[in-house]
Amino acid sequence: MREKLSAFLDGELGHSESLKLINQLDVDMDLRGQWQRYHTYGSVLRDEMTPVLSPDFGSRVLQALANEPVQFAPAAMTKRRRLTGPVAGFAVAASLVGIAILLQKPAVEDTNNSELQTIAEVTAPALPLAKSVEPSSDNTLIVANSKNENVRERINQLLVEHNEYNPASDMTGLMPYSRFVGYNPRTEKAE
Amino acid sequence: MKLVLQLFLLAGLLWAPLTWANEKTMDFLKRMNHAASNLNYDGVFLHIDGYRVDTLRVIHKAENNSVLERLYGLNGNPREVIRDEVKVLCFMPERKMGHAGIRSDKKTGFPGFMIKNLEGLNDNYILTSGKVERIADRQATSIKISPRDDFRYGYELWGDMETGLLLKSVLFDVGNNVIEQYMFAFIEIGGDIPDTALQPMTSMNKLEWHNDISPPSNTPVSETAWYFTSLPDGYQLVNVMQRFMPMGNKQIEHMVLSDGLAGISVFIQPGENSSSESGLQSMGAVNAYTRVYDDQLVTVIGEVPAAAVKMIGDALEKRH
Repeated sequence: MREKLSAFLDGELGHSESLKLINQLDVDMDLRGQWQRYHTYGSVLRDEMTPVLSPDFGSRVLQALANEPVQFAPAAMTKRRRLTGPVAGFAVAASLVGIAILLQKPAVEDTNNSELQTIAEVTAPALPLAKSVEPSSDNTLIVANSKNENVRERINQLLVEHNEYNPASDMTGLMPYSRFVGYNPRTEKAE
Repeated sequence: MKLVLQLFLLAGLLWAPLTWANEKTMDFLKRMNHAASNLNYDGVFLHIDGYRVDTLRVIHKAENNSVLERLYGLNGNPREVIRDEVKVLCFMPERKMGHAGIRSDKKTGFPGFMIKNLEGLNDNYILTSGKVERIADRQATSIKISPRDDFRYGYELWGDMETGLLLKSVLFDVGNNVIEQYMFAFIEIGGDIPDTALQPMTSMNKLEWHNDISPPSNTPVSETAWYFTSLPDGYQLVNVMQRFMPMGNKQIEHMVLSDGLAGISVFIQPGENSSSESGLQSMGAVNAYTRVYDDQLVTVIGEVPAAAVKMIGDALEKRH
């Protein structure tokens, strides 16, 4: 199934097989976790993310890599496929990711010229920024940046009401509700 | 006289491409808006917010002039949203709770606001277009709406070339730093969608439901008791409603400000003076600013930079 996921992410899985895979994602928790990890790695490789990295982010990713089964070696595949897309990129450059991530200056150390931080300094309480995160059991790369879960939940509920009146929501349909759906109080760590 | 004519012609030549670009942008956005409402589609998309990635499935069915849509996460707790034209059902199984919200009459104000006021966008944004990219195995073309200052974010939107449906959206700041992305990884557009695909995975009977008592009632903008001593350039008050607090029975005032594209909500909750909640909160692209005004809790929320919500929150005053 992981090989199918890999093929799917590379755009090489047939239409009907893709539909089956998506339905499998609904019920297979391990597959969902794998999906999320592939995309996180791929996004970092493609420089699509602007991570606010915690100081131990690199070590956590390397730990996650160490725990990964060796699924990406071409010899392990029944069919030789073109190495493209996020998964292939991961296979080729996994070691570089670790280096790149370790070299990434954590945003929490950057205290210069940030309007957000200027505001935070004069406003009580200070704008919470990412702090170190304990490794979570499913390797999700999540950091709560709210000081209080109840405050965040209240804001989340108001956000649902706000979405109905945001002009940009006209084009994006239900997408802005992702924050409500994605909000996961059990896996996030309040400050 | 000849010089005046030459200047007139020159102004016309300079104006023509701008008008053409605006018309092209307007057509693009109208097509995107129409596609989002009127097509059947079923897809999986990524929501990348900072270094957090959520994978979600969205199913949208438009049939016989009615729309039913469902969104749920493929990671974490199985929270879910199901929406039709009248109500929004929010499922929170981890809290054993659900919220049934009543949608406002969309004909009064939104969603037409943005499109009607596109001409005004040039004051606050720079519009460019032209990129083509393959997204979710489909050809998409993009338009970029860049902010002119740091009181709003910019959008880069990729619409499906065949149908106009939004396939990717990137939110970025005035420094061109990416704040948030939505992107389909797989999508099937058109075709029948069975009713079973729109059923929630959590039985409604298993949750304690908190239902909105009544829909929001609009108040003419000129009649609100609140006003702003100053606002970021381009923003104006466009809507004022009286509504009930979600999951509660307290009536609150909900004001909406917009620059034509970005929206900012101001919620005023009477009888709340918990100063412990005061300050800025950041949830990825969304910034919220809370302050206490007399015995009322004011919360300003929007997909805008922190500077905008703070300026608006601090500028709020009540007429006495």
